[in-house]
Amino acid sequence: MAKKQIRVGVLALQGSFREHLSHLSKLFEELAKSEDYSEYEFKDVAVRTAKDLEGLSGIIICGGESTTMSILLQRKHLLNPLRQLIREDHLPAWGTCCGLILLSNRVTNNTSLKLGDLKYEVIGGLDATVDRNSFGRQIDSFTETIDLSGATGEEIHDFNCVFIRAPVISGLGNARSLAKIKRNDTELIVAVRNDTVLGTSFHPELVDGDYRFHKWFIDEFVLT
Amino acid sequence: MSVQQSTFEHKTGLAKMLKNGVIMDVTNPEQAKIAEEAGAVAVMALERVPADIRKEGGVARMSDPEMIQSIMDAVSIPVMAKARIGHFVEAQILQKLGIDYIDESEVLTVADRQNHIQKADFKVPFVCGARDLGEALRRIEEGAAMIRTKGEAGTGDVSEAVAHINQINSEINHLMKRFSSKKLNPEDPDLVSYASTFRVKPESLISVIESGGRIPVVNFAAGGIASPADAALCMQLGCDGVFVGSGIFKSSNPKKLARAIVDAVNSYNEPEDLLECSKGLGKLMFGVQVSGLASREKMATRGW
Repeated sequence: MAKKQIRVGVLALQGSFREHLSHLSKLFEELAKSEDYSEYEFKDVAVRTAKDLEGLSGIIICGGESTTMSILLQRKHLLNPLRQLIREDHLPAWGTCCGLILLSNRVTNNTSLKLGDLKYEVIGGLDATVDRNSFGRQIDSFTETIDLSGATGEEIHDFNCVFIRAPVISGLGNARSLAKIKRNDTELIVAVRNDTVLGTSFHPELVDGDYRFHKWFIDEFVLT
Repeated sequence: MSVQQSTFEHKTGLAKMLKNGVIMDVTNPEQAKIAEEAGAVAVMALERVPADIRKEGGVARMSDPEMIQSIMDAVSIPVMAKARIGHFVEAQILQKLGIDYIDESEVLTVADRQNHIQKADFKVPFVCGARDLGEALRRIEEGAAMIRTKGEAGTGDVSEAVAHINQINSEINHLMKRFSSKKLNPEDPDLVSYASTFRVKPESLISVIESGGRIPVVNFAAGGIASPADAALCMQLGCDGVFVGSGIFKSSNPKKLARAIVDAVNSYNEPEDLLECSKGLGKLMFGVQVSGLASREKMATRGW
């Protein structure tokens, strides 16, 4: 019997896309050996043009600089196709850090940006509001070990969440919170889900040798 | 729940977010806004661009923190600033200011002719220049989390940056040929003696081999990049991104050139896009040819 093709894209314009692609390809090597996944054939795809979007079962929007990425999405004619796929056709999507910003419907502290002939545009899909650089500057970047087992329903009790000049979700519409951390007695939302769209403030692609979060995205969003 | 801060992973992590991006030299908040709006992934705040330092001479020091602060306030992208080679107090001041990255830079006057800054002691990450593999690995051993070629800053002549990329690539090729099929052991006498010719630890060479023949941190091109084609050339030669110093604001149309270089770094392998972004840019930086410079006039020879 022919195997079901599962192509997972990573937006490869700027930032940490190689890290995501490498996590996916290592995870897919593991899954190829597993009986439980024998009906599937997985492939990771670098997305640079609208043509690369054909036949995807899911897409990851990586970390980087959101202003740069917004410009490049428009220049590469990817913004509208991605909006259609993610918001209308419900293509499973996951954004990390800058990717979370680009997948949120509302972004604070970006209004003054005039990008020449372009505007600061995001893809959207998460009915949430996100604040950029919420923890301060690079020197305030941190790693916190978080129990994600409640959010994911998996045995992820101890995930090293790497936050680099990270954004935070400051308002929820229809999106729901998956994980929070505590800072000065305030709870901050660092992972959200809105139906088929996932957003995290942190970077699972930067944790060497740990593919659990990527696996959860595949299991929970791409294969269901 | 445990929290860790300022580890090497955080320092290299920010550099990874800058990949396939352009970092631009700016001297005031207006230029910083132009850079951000053109799509720069970060800016380098400094009082004089390298071309002016080259022309005016004198001692070039860390910029006024008040001026750097005004740039940090103006943009939401990361801001870098330069400290003199070996001047760890300038680095302490910049760290206190809250800068996102320090460039320990040969563009400024050398402060310590024996020692580079011990960068591992700092919370803030550092980028350093290198002309060859040994220099790159020595800086990483000191704690640098990102490497750039030195090139020849302030000239608008890309040839020196290209020479440094070629040098590093050929040294890595040689290393891979000789050791990549061997079992790697830091006590292997062959590897120990090879490492000593680079004045590095055997472990540093192993890290290059284990990274599949790449410098084990993000590696940008810098020094003399003045056009979209220059930027794409460095990308095709294998760099992760580019720094543009004097090139942008010494041209007749900085806004257009800045955007064009961002486009070129993204589409570095696509001739059709490169053709488009190379058109109608006005007058580029006039520049000076590196081949006409005496060696004492070169900035790249500062540091070791």
